[in-house]
Amino acid sequence: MAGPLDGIRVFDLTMYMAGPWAAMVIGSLGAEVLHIEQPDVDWSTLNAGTPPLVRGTASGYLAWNMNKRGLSVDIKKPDDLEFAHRLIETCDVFMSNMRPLERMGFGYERLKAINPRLVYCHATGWGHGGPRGADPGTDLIMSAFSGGWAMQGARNGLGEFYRHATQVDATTGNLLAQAVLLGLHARKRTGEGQHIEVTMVDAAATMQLPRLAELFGGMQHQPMGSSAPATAPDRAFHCEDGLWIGVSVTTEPEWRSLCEAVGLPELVSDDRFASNRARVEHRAELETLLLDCFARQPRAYWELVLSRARVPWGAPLLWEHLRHHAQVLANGYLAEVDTDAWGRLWTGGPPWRFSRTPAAMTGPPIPGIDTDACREELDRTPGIRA
Amino acid sequence: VIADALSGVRVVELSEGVAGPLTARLLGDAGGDVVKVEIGEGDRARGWVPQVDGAGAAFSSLNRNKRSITVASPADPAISVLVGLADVFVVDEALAKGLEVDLDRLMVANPQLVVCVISGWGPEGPWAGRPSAELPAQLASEATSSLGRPGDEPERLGTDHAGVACGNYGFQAVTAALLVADAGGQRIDVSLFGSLMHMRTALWVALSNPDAWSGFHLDSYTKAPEHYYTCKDRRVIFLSQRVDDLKALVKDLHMEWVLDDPRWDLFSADTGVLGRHSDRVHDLWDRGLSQWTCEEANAIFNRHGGAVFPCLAPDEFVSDPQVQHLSVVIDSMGNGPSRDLRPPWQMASTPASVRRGAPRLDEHRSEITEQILSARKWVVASAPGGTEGA
Repeated sequence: MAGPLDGIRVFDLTMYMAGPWAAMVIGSLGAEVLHIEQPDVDWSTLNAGTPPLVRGTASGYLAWNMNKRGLSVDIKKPDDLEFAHRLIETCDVFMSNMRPLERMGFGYERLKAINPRLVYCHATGWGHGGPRGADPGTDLIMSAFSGGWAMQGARNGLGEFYRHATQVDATTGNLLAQAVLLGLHARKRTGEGQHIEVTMVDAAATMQLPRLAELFGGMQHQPMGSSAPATAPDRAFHCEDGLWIGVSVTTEPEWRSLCEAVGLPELVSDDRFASNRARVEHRAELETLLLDCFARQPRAYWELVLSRARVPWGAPLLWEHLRHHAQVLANGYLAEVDTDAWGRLWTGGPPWRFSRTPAAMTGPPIPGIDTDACREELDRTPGIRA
Repeated sequence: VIADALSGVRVVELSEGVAGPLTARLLGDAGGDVVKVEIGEGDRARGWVPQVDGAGAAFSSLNRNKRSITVASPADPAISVLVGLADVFVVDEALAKGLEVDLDRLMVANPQLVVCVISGWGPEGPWAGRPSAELPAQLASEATSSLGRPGDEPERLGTDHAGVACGNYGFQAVTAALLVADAGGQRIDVSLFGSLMHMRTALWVALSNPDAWSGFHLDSYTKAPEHYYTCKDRRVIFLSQRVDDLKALVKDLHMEWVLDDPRWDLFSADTGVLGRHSDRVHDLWDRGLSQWTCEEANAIFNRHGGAVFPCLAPDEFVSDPQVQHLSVVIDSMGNGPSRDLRPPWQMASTPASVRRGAPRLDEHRSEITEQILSARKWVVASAPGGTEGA
């Protein structure tokens, strides 16, 4: 059984991370994605060439171009541009995160004239116009601009940047993939495509939605280590063996279960801790009691006790655990794909499980490898000028 | 006239916290008609802080474009009836266990139904069914390993990253499944853990068989915490990877003294923000940048292929002129804080919209009950032996 987007064809004119990510997601859902690169490109510099490389190719290219066919098109050459436009005539979706699309010959009006059913999805950094409309939009810039750094880091510290600066890009890509899906829904009703835009500013805001809502509600956030601003107790505790365990109580039943499980049943009837609001208000006293309690037993003890009490807990894992972890394997949260050029690659498995139309991960294409095949297919397509 | 991409799509949500409510809220933003079914005192996020108009602030944003009805427990027969009428059922795994009519039977009774199950750890494996939350998902997926220092107290991402990512994936999956629902509904599973595992995809590829162990992706595990830099007028970050001549840049920044500093070798090797040695030369950059305003420093960096950007606090972000220009922050409707975020997609012909604010607990009991009563006969008649008790 094929994925839910089986039969949908996508023209993927994207680069760096956010755009390719979106098309990778759409490809995983079963669409045929035609990813465009320049001819004879240096593989080490693809997708900004962010290191490390894997067998000479930028890891970002491999990660964000799974589930695609690879085309080489030199859009500065009239013949190649015409080829691209003929391809777009056969596509359902156009995706890009490049800026000068009009100048490149891929502006909305031009493509709409070629294919009125085309769902045209564009990701930008800053939207159009405004004082920053022409600024570059990178993940780090957006992370700094959108204030997320100020709400994370060591307790009472300066705030910290997320060092794997990819998450605003990935979120932008996820919004762009959503735009594609919504565009296809709208087309089912209207018979026509449309222009849809998402911005990195919206993505950074969406990513922080709960915190920004709290800000709108009057909360001033500080870096709080492992603690949550809106709930308590909800943090990591240091266990007797020096290991950390994260414990999150976000409901009253979980609170009562925690008190029983850690041997502090008297806290259930303590007015200071009678509701989440009260516990947040008395967070310091509560955390002192619990820090002392958790320090008396090793983590393995707490894992067992909290599991039995059905209190949410989690412990820090790393790659070497995760790649063998029964929970990861059972749910396919890591996928292994075999490639001729790069050997076996690990990647994130599809984040959704569909019972009827399963998603899948396939390896990235060698840049340009499908160009000739696509030209031949096009020549055989009725109604498309050869 | 088609108003919204998903107008006419009927959604029942039995879900709490961030992930499930966000999935349903995005469906609502895109035009879906969302009925939020709450148990007893309601969604746990109603009790989170800060409280505005009797509900947690995040709750109000996560639950706009919905109507609310309460039931005593997940076993209330009204849920089966509502789901029998719906196109989509967004449900937390923990609450699904208590349903009077289980998910398989609900899907038999309503063959085009799309069921989206939200869980902590995924439907299979030793942790299936184990309760989870934001922090456990962040820790287990190693998302916290790009903050803080190894061995110290883990630091959580400031946002509810697992919850938001899972909400985004839940929405993708539901909209994808709806596209093919004419041929039959299906069950979808998304989880907090699985969502963060997917968000870290670049790392898994980089870890597969890297040519070298240094480099941006993998360095994020081992670098020291990175903080903002300080210009004369404000906090900043800068981009220096494409600076062609670092010595010329520091000369223009009037910080030639750094050439004689014993740390020059570190300073000149991968020195930028999130560089390998940035914690050891941070004070040198601060000393140089403090002579300039952000704008002045940016102009100097621009001449050498770099750039300097402001580093804003969250309240500065939401009032920034560019954010206002885009109208990312909007006036909210109904209860809760007076401001909210716009729907995240700008669709030219089927715009997403905020049509109502978050509901008060049980606010729409009478109108939803009326809907249930008027539809009851239809549901019982068409359900092949399952929902008779409903």
